[in-house]
Amino acid sequence: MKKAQSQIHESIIVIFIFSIIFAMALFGVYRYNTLSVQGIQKDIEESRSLSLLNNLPGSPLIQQSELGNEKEAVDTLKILDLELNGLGFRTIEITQTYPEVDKVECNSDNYPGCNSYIIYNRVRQTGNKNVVSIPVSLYFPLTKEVKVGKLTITTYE
Amino acid sequence: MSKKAEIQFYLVFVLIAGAIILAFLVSFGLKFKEVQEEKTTIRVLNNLESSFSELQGSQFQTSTSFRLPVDMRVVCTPTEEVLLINGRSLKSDNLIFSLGNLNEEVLIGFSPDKLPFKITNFFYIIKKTDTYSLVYDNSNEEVVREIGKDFKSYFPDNVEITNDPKNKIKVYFERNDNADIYVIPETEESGKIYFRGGNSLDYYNRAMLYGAIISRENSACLFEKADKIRLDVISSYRNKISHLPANCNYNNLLLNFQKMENLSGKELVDTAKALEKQNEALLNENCPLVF
Repeated sequence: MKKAQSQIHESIIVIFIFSIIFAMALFGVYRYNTLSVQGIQKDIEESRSLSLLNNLPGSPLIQQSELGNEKEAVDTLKILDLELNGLGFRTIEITQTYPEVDKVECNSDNYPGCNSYIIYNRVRQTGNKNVVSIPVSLYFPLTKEVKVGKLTITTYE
Repeated sequence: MSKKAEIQFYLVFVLIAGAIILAFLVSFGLKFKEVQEEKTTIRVLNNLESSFSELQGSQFQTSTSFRLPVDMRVVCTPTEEVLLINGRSLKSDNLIFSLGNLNEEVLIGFSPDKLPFKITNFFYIIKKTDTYSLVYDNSNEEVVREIGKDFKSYFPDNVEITNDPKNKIKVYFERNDNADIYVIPETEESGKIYFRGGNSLDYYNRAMLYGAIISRENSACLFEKADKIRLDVISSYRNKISHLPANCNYNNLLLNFQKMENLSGKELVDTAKALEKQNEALLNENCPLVF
């Protein structure tokens, strides 16, 4: 009877330890999954920035058009007073890179002698930031000139 | 402790331990399922966004094929448009025309919404099995072929322009009370679309017509959203005019932009046409164009 009792004790201990290890393993798998979801969400934010970078120059709020036909350039008069909204924690800036001009933010008083148009700005101070940019053509309707610029999207994690 | 009591204690211990392990396993299983569903939802949304992005960059009128591993439904409410994927709702910034539950193979098309300047982009999602017949008769063949040509170019295997309809969804271009949809064109671009049940909607361009054919009555909500975007675009043009040279006369354009904010139906189409002409006239006066 004593032998049987000690076997029951052993079995209980084995079951107990096995349960703990099993629970730890399950928790590990769950944690891995949760982290991978967070990773995917981070990837999505990055791909949303890239998608914005691709699509923004084609937005009617920004794009130059001539007789209703869209052109591959940003209309600088359209972005002079433009304030986008609802794009998360990001800064979206269009800068003139060539020819070089004074490095000041554009407004109605200094246009076109300025180089930066901030069309969206919602900064988050903490965390990392991811910066992506593409070259764009800048169209100046008053002089009908096209200059070289850069569209930069800074995403705050 | 007697042996009987000891055995009873062990039994109770094993039962409680078993119940705890079982409860833990069940809750873990549920959590795991939830996380997996979230992963799938995020992946579907991400792939969908990529498809939209690719289509916008395409130089041709085309559609792209997309495989949905789970059920998806587009729901438009007055405040927002949401994608219901796998029972989860996610806000979408795109105007997506579709009907009912979408699953497995779907086709995605895209068209810019213009009046006469670009307002936004419309995306169309149809099931690969959905087929449309745009039905003409002797009196309107040319008109129907012209109106339907872009729709056919987006979905060449799913759309036929015919006088002998065989496809699932039949669209007539004259009054037909038995039709699912019939369209009464007023001009090449605009008109009225009627649905079974008596509801009707105005359309001002082909992008809207195609959206209404796909989404039926649901497109009213998406048209309202496009109207709101139109106001933003008009506001951006009015801002632009404020920076254009004072020696050029933009007053008539400003007036029509202002009118466009509140108009609908034929009046809106007429004002858009007037606006187009006024913008063209700026070229002769050597003044910068507005759009």
